This record gives sequence, structure tokens and C-alpha cells, in this order.
Amino acid sequence: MSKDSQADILVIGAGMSSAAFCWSLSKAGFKVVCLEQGPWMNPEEYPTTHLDGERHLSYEFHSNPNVRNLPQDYPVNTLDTPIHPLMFNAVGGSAIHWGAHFPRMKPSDFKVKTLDGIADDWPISYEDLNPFFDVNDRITGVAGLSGNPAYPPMPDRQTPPLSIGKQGAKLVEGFEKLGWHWWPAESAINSVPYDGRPACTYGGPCISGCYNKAKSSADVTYWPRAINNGVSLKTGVRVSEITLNNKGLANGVIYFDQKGVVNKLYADAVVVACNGVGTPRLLLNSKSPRFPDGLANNSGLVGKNLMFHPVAAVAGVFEDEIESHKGPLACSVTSYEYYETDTSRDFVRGFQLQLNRQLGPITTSLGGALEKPIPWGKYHHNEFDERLNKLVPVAALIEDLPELHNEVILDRNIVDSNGIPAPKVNYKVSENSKKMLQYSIERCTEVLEAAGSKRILINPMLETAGWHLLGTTRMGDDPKTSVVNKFGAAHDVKNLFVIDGSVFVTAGAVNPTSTIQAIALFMADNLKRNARNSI
Amino acid sequence: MSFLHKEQTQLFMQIANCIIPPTDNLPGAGNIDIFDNKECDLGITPKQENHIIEFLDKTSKTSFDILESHFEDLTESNKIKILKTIEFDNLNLFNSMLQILYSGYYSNASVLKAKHLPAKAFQPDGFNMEPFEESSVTKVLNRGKKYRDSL
Repeated sequence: MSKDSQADILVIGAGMSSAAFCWSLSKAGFKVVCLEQGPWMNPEEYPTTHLDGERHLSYEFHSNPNVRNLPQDYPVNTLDTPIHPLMFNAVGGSAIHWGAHFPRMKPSDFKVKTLDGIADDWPISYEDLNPFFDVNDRITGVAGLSGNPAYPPMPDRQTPPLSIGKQGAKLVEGFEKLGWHWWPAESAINSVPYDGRPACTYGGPCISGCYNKAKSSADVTYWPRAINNGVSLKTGVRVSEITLNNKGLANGVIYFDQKGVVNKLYADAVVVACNGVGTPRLLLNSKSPRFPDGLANNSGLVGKNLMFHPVAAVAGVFEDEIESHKGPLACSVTSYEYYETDTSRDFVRGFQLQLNRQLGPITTSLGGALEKPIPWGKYHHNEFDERLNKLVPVAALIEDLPELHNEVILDRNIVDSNGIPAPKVNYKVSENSKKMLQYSIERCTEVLEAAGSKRILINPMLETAGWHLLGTTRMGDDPKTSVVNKFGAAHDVKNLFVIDGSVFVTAGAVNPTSTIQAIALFMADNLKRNARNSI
Repeated sequence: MSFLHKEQTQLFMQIANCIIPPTDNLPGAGNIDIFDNKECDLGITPKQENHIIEFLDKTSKTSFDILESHFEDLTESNKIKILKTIEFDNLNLFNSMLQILYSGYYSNASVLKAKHLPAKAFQPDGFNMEPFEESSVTKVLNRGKKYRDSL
């Protein structure tokens, strides 16, 4: 550590990637300081335990920071994107109101160029990440069933699969009639007690917080371990800029403390883990004579290639009550029948089908994933009664491909509570994605009808689908076509690292948290082995 | 509804009963005080209060502009006609009104009781569910490998 430094490694953001990274480094004796703009959440105070828990999802627990508008949130200009970025700012990050679906990306996801002739291959493979997936699974505690034929072999899951209930069994009837792949979801939720945390009580809905810590957000898994190992985590502080020394190396950050006072913190290495919108925002806000277009942006790719996972929601209405409201929202049954590229279709790559549960009466009346309230007027009551606890909503989560025009830029006319310019998202759904969405809707309809649904409700693409924020500081071997190398080190600033979903080269079609954390562990492992050369 | 004066309250109740009408077994949204949810810790926000007042003003104006009458004096079918006009012209405002009414209605203890819905939080009680039956995947396994190798 240099004489001015207050930390060996300074990490910005305390979400899922950061927690895994800090824990890994803390075991090696590094002095690690993490700065987080949000607070610690108290699980006992989550809306989930309140009688009007569903109402909170439209207020301070809304997934969209522009709706929530809490002091720790920053605004996002979404005028030019049909999909709105969603996130949460707290220790544990967006996993606080995460569905906890925890699949890994697949081997083919890392070789898209080689296999399908599009986008780019990753500089790392599934095999490179495999040991880190396993470590991450053990710390997290994954409920699931090994032997899924849609994946290479993996060790026994830590706890058995969660119940799929009557609703899941109904959808499985459809999959079996069609002979399609299905499997119980990989879930970052304890189905039985694990690691000192209790089992899920199947109350749902997870997105308003898990009161008993059965859901494995990082605030209850990695962070207690990392802090016990000596990591210093400071909450309620917002970094405005990463600073450089006269050699062009990162030497710390400028941040606002809880009282709004500007401070400087020096470190030997700076690590950014602020998600695929927050990370490019911070780099673009960190301008200097050496980097007039934003830090580590000689390639011009900081903020470019933003990928979401566009989602189509298709719900089957069933005649009988099937207890759709029981159990975790997003962890039940999945299908990878259409995951891999099939050259007979008019699009490349593929999608995942994921059964979602239904929540309660308020969400039912407001439409839930259908994003359209049920009709008002004389048919209101009939429609409500037809839907409540009788829906099987299936989400088709499709692979988005990297495109330069999909981007995060700065909007200097909008600022957060500290006066820092906000991000603006410019995003268009590609023709490939449009074709895939339409095809996935047809397949969802097919399986729901096979399961016995007499009526299908369709939302062609969710506006509130921007959970997965990927690709905006992509990794690669070539400094002209990527921002960081495969170990997360910026090509332009060797002691500056990015470890979150921003480094994704392509998006796959699975929920990315498991892969984001495995990559963070992979990068931490490299940093531990090569610290002398890296920082 | 302390933020509304008497005439506004009357108008609000009429609108609410058009949006969620009463039935033989259920009150309409205008028959209950949807803001009086004693067991809820979230009330109506100032922004929503403004939306309601804007909605009431727009309803009155549209009634006069189209049918030259107070909304309260219209037939049921004409009330619906006015509300559909507002929905067509101001969808965001209309949806905000729906969110207020639906959230309030389905938080109301008398409505939940009439619909036989439990008035309880998601957690901590939760629900009992049958364990996953692992033998149910046998056919999936028999259908064979379902991923591509990368090498």
C-alpha cells in the first residue's frame, strides 16, 4: 500500500458482484474498503411483512428508481428506451428485491461468434468459470436438482428444489404433452435451512424483500463473512469521480458523505461495481485531461453495447384455482427447449421460458407482468374473479445482442441529490429480438394451451424488464474493441477494475446474477495472485 | 378524503362507482372510503391527491363540453361515455386513477372479506406447499442432452 493510501483496494458499490469480490479478497488479507450509496436494509421491516405489502411495490419498493425516488437513488432518463432500467441501491444491491432465479450461463453463451457467427466470443469460457460457479453456489446455497440435461454436469445443489405447487404442475402437464424440456428452477432461496438461515415459507413474493433471510441476497451471505474478515463497508456515501495520479493510475475517489460533505479517499486500486448503468455513468463522469471522454474510454466503448433481456409475458387463464399466489415469484419451473440457435428459425440465439407466480389481489387488478390493469366498469368483478389465483404467467426471456447504438450516456440536465449528472439510456429493440419475441409468444401460447388454458393474455414486451444491465464496459483482449481485459482491468488504466455485469460480451438468455458473481470471484482470484503486477 | 371538499367527494364517489361498480355481494369503490385503510401504513401521496383533483376537474369539464351537464346528473351510460373519453384522451391520468382505486379497493377489509381473501401479510406465515417430486423429471432425462458444447 502506498503511503497516501487508506486502502489496498477500494470497491464502489455493495451489490452482488462487489460482495463476492470483497469476500474473496478479504480472505487474502487485503485492506478492502467498499463505498455504497444506499443503506443496510432491515429484513424485519420489509413490506413483505406488512398487510399492505403489495401497495409498497408501487411506492418506495418499486423496482424503478424514477418511481421510488429515494434519497439514495439517482434518476435515469428513459425517454428513449422502451425498456426501463430497474435497480435498487442498498447493501446487497438489486438483489434486495430480486426474484432470486439463479441459473448459470451455458457453455455456448461464451462462444457466440464461433458457434453462430454473430457478436463476439468472450475471452473466457464456461470451463474457466466453472470452479467459481461452484464456490458461489456453496456460499449462496442453491435450491435445485442436479442432472439438468440443459447443462453440463454440476455438483449436487445445496438444498432440494423449491416446491412448484399446483400452478407449476399445471404447466408441466403442457411441457410433457409437447415433449419439451423443463426443469425445477435453480433458486438462490433455501428450500430447507442452510448456512444458519431458515427455509423459505412460500409466502412470496421476494420482490418486496425476504424477512427471514431465506433468500440469498449478498447482505445475508457474503457481506457478513467479508466484514468479519475485516472489509470496511461504508454506507450512505456516493462517489462522484475516480481520480488519477500523475502517472495516469487510479489513486482513489471523490465522494459525498451522508451530510453531503465532499471527501477524498486514496487507494492503490479502484474497483467499480455499480451495475451496467451506474458503472458507465461513473466512468463518464470521471473526466480528466488524460481522459476527456470519460475514464478508461480510449476505445469510445464506455456505455456502449448496453444489453437487457427483453421479456414477453404470456399468461394462461385456467378454470380451476391453482394457488398461483403461493411461493416465490420467479422460482418454480423453467424450460430451455428453445435456448440454443436453430438455423431453421428466422432469428439467431434463443430464449428461456420461466414460470412466474401471481402475487395478490392488488397486483392481479393492476395486471402484474401484463402491465395493463384489468377492465373497469361492469365487467371488472368477473374479470378479477377469472384471474385471481387462476393464472399461469410464463415469461420468455430472450437473448439480447450487443449493438453500439444501445448505450448509456450522461444527461447533464438531470442530476442526483448531490448534483452529479444522471445517466440517459438510448435503446432500440433489434429486429432479431422482435422476431424472437414473437416466436416466444407463440411457443408460450402453445404450451399454455397444451396445459389446458382456454384463454391467453399477452404482453408483447415488458416495459419493466430492465433488471439485467449488461455489456457497457465489455471485456476482451483487444483495447480497440473492449474496455477491460478478461480479469476486469481497464486497458487504459491498469489498476482500475470493473467487476459487474458491465463486462459481459453477450447476454445469454438466463438471469445473470450467478454468472456475474462467478466472474467477480474469477477476477478477485486473479487479482490475489497477481497483485504485485496489477496494483 | 380530507383533501376534497364536499362536492368533490360526491363526484369522486360517483366516478369510483362507475370504475368498480357495486354488485349484490360487493360494495362499489364509491361505497367505501378507499383511503381509510387502518391496517395499511401507506396512505395516498400528495402527487396522487393532485391526480385525483385533476381527474375530477377534467371529468366536470368534459361533461359540460360534451353533454352540457354535471357528471352527477348524467345517466349511467353517459357517465361511462365521459370516463371513456377521458381514458382515451389522458391514459396516464386515467391509469393513475385506476391504480389509486384498485389499490385502495383491494386493501379494504370489507372487500377482502366479501371476496373470501385472507387479510394477512405475505410473510411471516407463508403457505404450506408439497415438496417437489424428483421422479417427475424422468421423462425429461430420457429425452436427452439439451445444450451445445462450446468446443
